[in-house]
Amino acid sequence: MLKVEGLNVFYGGIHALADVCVEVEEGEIVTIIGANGAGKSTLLRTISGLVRSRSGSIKFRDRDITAAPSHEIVAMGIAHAPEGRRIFGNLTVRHNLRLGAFLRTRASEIERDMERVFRLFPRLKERQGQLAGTLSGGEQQMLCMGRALMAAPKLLLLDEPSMGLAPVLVQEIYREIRRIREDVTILLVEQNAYQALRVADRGYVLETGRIVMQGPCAQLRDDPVVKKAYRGG
Amino acid sequence: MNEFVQQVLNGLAIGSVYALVAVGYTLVFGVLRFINFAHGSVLTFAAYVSLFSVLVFKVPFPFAFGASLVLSGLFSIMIERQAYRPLRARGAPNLNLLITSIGVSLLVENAIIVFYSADFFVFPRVLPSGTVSLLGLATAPPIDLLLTAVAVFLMSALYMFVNFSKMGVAIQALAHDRDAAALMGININLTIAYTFFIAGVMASSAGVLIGIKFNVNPYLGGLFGVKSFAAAVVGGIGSIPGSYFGGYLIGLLETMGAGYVSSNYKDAIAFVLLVLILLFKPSGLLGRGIQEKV
Repeated sequence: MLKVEGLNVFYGGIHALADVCVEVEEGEIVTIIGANGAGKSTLLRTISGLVRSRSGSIKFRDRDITAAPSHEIVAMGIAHAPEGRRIFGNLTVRHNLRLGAFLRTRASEIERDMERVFRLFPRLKERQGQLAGTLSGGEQQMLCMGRALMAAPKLLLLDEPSMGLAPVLVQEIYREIRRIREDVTILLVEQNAYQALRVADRGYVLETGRIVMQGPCAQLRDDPVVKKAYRGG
Repeated sequence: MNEFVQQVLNGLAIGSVYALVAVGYTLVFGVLRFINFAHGSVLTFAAYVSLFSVLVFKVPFPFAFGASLVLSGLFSIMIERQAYRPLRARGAPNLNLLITSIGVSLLVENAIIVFYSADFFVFPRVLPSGTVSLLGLATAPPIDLLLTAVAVFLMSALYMFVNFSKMGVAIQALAHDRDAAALMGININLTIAYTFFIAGVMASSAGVLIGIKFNVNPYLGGLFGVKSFAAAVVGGIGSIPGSYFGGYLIGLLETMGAGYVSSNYKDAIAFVLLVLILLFKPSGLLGRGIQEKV
């Protein structure tokens, strides 16, 4: 479904991604784990067209999207719940969700998906008239994911959904990710390798811009190097 | 009493000009985070387009007015396309955009002088002469009434557009967070382009009407542009109601100052106010300040 090949991205003089190859099949959850600054977010931002690559290619459902602008990538079916949530704090929860469906035109379908998001995250329904900036961190993360789902994506890019959340909320978010995967393919970027490797099918380990390891999550979970480096022993 | 009402009326007319132009600074600042000092040249451009249409092509004024709004809106888009977008595409800092905009405004001003004339032109009579009496309290020339009416109409239209249309919501989202807006599927370059168009139309309506009220000259956008910039900052740059408020505040203070103190200080009032605001409330009277995101 998604095929990233030989991707090179530079930030000024810094080689942020070096020959990165990642593949995601339809129906999978694939995770990319790695330390802070390894280039995980850069990879997602490059897929979404927010960052330009110097070389390499990104194909989505056999179409080359390497040079496509972000709004076309969204239109093709890739939604991105970015790092730091980036919700529109000055707009209401409902408005944020409607913005997620910006490219869609059928009001009845948008309304139906809004209900779906509310079933997934009942707390958003309670707070739909509230300004998004007044939500708690966990609720903002739910809104960020709900907003991405409003685009009715085929592939969902999730960037650090557990960042800054209390353990109980992390578990809640991951419960919802398991429910979301029933309809949507997911590429999940995480620092929290423990959670990510439990939910995902396959994983890649990214270290200073390079993929250093990959395989089924069951295998990565037991790998001594991964255990030591990313799961605290 | 009557004199006061008269001053208020005059202040509202000139305040309408500042408000119409100031809102363009705010709109562009919202989406690109820089002060577009070429904004005033759109106003000058509009005055010349309508002058030519009436004088040379003998177009009836309402059509000349409409045409110059559209053409100036397109001119505003063209400035963005040709001067700013190439810089944006290369990731230039916003300061470069600002300096470029000063360059563009000098270019437009001097192009008019070089290729046409530095003369001041009196607009042909397109409105009835004399003054209109308002309930016997005060009188106003028809141009002042037209200015205020056009301003109220365009400001209401902009309010509806920004808050209730999809394109307007896109402008708001873009002003809040460009990357997040792009991830919603909002076409960033298109949104920036029509923001410039709207800013251009608002300013050019003021440009045509002050061309009629005073005269048409290459420096028209200079003084009015800078004063409107002061209005936008006083009201709070980035806030649309703030730019209206700043515009009318400066318009009223200026006429009151000229009427009751001395007309020598007229042009200084806007800038004194600007300095005071920057000293004591840099985010402007209605502005909330820009939170820098980490």
